[in-house]
Order: sequence, then C-alpha cells, then structure tokens
Amino acid sequence: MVTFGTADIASIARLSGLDLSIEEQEAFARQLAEILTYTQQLENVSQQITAEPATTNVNEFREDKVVEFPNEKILENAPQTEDNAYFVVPRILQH
Amino acid sequence: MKSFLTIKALRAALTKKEITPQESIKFFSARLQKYNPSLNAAIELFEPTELPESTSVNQKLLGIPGLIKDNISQKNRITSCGSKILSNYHAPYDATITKRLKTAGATILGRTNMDEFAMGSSGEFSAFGATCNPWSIDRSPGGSSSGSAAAVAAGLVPWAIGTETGGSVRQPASFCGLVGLYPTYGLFSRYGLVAFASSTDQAGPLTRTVYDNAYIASILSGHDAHDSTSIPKPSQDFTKYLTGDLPENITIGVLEEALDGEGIHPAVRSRFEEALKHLRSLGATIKPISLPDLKYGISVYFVLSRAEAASNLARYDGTLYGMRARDVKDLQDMYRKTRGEGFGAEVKRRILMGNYVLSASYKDAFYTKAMQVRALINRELENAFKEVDLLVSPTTPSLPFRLGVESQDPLAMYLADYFTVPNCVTGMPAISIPCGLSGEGLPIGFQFIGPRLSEPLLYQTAYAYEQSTDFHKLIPAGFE
Repeated sequence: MVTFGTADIASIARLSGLDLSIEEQEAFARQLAEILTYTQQLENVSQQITAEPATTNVNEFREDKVVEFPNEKILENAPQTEDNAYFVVPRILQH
Repeated sequence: MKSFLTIKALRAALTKKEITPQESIKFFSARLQKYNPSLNAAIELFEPTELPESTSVNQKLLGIPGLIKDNISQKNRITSCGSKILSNYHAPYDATITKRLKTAGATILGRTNMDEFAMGSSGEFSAFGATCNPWSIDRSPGGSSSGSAAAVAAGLVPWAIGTETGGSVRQPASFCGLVGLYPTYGLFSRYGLVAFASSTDQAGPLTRTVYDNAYIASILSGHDAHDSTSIPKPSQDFTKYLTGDLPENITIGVLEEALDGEGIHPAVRSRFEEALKHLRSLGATIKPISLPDLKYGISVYFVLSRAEAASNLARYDGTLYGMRARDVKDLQDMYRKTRGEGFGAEVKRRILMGNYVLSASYKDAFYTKAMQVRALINRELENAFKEVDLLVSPTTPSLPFRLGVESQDPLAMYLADYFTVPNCVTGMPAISIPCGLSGEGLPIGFQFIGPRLSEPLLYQTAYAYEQSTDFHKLIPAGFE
C-alpha cells in the first residue's frame, strides 16, 4: 500500500512548481495514495521485455534552414514585454 | 432545412443546389446560437463573417460547417484547452488538421468545451463549466471531448473534432450515441494539438454516422512534415471501403472480461450481447479471446500519460504566454503561483503523479516498469491479431455519468477508460459506434479495435453493422 503524507505532497509540489493550499495537500495526499496503490499492480508483472517507442519513425529531420518569425508574433501573447524584443519577468536572483 | 442532416445528405443537397453553402452555414450557426446556452458545448461561437461566395461545391466541406475542440490551434482564436491558465492565449497558427479542414472549404463555427488540458472523462473539469448531454441534461456527455460530442449529438453541427489520449473521443461518442474514431497513432498530424501525453495523443472525428466519420478522417489523414511522428503515407479515402457488407470470413475476438461482465452496467452488457448476436447474424465469426495483460492497461496509462503530462505542462509558467499571477516576489514565486491559480485540481493531481513516478527513487518501479508492460500489452495485442481480424468490446463500462456525482471519486472515473486505454498505449486504432439505448433512454456504444493501419477494415465492419440497424437514426428530444 502506498501512503502519502502532506510533506511528501509538498515536496513533489515544489518539484512541480505548484503552490497548493493545505486543503489541496491533504486531498491530494489521500487521492494519490489510492491511485498509486492501484497502480502497484504493475509489480505483479515479472516478464522482462524491452520497451519500445510509440512510433517507428526514426530521425525525422528537416532542412537546416532558418525560418523567420516576426518578434511581434512571438511576443503577442506575453504577459509583459519590452522594446519588442524581451519577455519581462520578475527578479530572478536575490542579493 | 432539416436538423440532424448528415454530411452525406448535406453534400447531396448542396450538389443538387437544393440549398446553398451560405444557407447551410447560417442554419447551423443559428442552431448553435439557440441551443448552446443550455448545453455549454462550445466555449466560444464564431460569427460566420466570411461566407463562401460561390455555390459550387468542388470543396469537400464547403457549406458543411463544424466545430473544433479547444485544444487544437485555430489561428488568431483563443485556444484555452478549457483552462484558466490559457484563457487569453491566441494561437498564432492553425494546426495542420485545422488547415486541412479549412482547405477543404470548412467553416469552423466555434471552439468546443472540454476537460481542462484533456484530463477528464466527464467534461466537469473544464474551467468554463460542464457540458450537458443532449440525451439527458443532468448527465455528462463524457470527456474530455465533451463539447464536440454534445454539439454533434444535438444536431448543432454535423461533425466536430475531438482529441483522445485514453478514451476521450470514444467514450463521449458512446455516451452521446455517436461514431468516434481513435486513429492509428500518427495517422493524423499532431502539429498544433496542445500536447498532453505525446505518445498517445491523437485527434479524432465525432459524427452521427460511419460514412460521415470516414469522410472527415479522409480529409485529416496524410503525412505532415511538421509532426515527426506522422506516418509517412499520403492521405487516403476511407469512404471507398464502405461496401455495406462485412468482410468475408471476418473473425472477431471478444475480450473475456467483456463477456463475464464484472463491473459493467447491466444495460451496457445487454446491448453489447445483442450487438454480438447481430454481428453473428451478418456472418461474423465471434470467438472469446483471453488477453490477461490488458488488465494492466489502466495502470500503464496512469503512469505514462501523467509522466508525459507533467513534462508537457511544465511550459505553462506565466513567462511566454497565458495567465501570470499578480503580486509575486520573484521568478520562482511567479511559476508556483501562476500554476497554482491557473490549473484546476485534476490537472494538478496528474502533474504531481507524473513527477512522482519520474522522480529518482520511484522511476524504476513505476515509469520503467510501465514502459515494459506497455510493450507486453503491445505484443499480446499483435499476437491476438494473428488469430482474429478485429477485437470487440463495450466502449465504456458505464452509462453516462450524472453530473456532479461520479466526478467526486477520481479512481472510479479513471476506470471508465478500462476498455479504451489498451489500444491507446499501443497506438492501435479503434472505432466506437452506437448499439442502442438503456431502459431510461441513454446511449450505449461498443467498439472495434484493429491492428495498426486497419482503418479500412474498421470502417467497413462498423458500416456493415450500422446499416443493418437503426441506432444511427436515433436523435435526442428537444433539439428540433
């Protein structure tokens, strides 16, 4: 049986870049434990086999040619931009 | 104009000039305006401002409008994937399948409602409200392609495009009395489809008849250089396989789990057994087949789809597009608050699970194991197709969920995908078609599963069954 504490959830939430409320942490801890316990049935499978990719395509290359895309188009959905050249974000490093 | 006309009937009427493309587009647009408020099938309807000028119908979908699911890019339209985090995002390009539909002359009349980022089986996880099932408005039309299914079932448009990762086209098709295809992985381009689980995501047509479905599938199919997993074959015409007869000497395997009926609603079981009997009467040999690894399909799908989703949804962080949280201290705070506020509970659940099964201590136990079991399921299905031409099963074990009820229990909802996930994780095609109603008038569907690239066989078989029954003629009341 898989069990989850709120501390486990908090740590995965940090990895996932997600802010969760205490209620969410508690609910998810319960729900994930249930789902993962069900998923543990995979341990019953003992056969060895090599995993395969979903597609038989290999190395689908395109021509190494630059395709222009105007800055306006690239920036048009951005929450904050500057000089039609930058995505503006909050401070990255603390002093 | 009559409601509930099929694509085939519309083509005939347009060719004979009984109606013009303009009249047809205005007719369906008006139906959407009238009935969408009560169904919430479309998040946004588009005014058909650019009506085609000609009345000649050399383009296959001229005058035959449809809808596209909100996670498929339509240029300059909001493509929000049913989520708050993209509620202001305008796609700067058309998905390849959108382009192909437009090149075929289609007018797209809106973007359909869906579970957020295609994660759900009832439509209730949309950030824009649930969609109702036209057959019973207190019930779900299924998910995640909830809006696409509801709109076609109510005759608001003759076709709509959904997407499927584990059952999200076929299960709504079953809940709404429609035909839904999950194609061979790579048959339809994924370029412009917002990624959830890249190794199983596929678009799929939802229509009221098999012919209509094959018609749309033909337009969508064909290699696309923009999608590196696209099958390197040109487009094909699937309608030419619709002879009306079953393929000679066809042998169809029925899953033992489907026969013993455990966990399957009695009405689903009854309609399914009647469908088998009917197939026998048409000349099919039906034999029971045991595929013991299929029962791991759900667990395999849980692990792989959530791992891929955690990776695919990492890009939604408030930097380049979409929602950004206010009052943030720094970059990390921006990521966490944006995603915390912008994603709904189901999406968060899946991201958490995905990162868990990929994390260092658990990757071997879950992810690597799931990849191996996927290969086992693939081998088991490939071996099955040496003995039988197709497999058959109910599409989903239950009747349409009651809105607000089943969604309270996540695990129970996930098990609804039991019959649809095995072929999704192996990239094999399947088609769901109606096989009748329950005692209280709710639609029930069943499905054929085939080996890769067996769409011709699937369509031919489904068509033969359909044409010898009347289920495709049933329509819900109240949408005249």
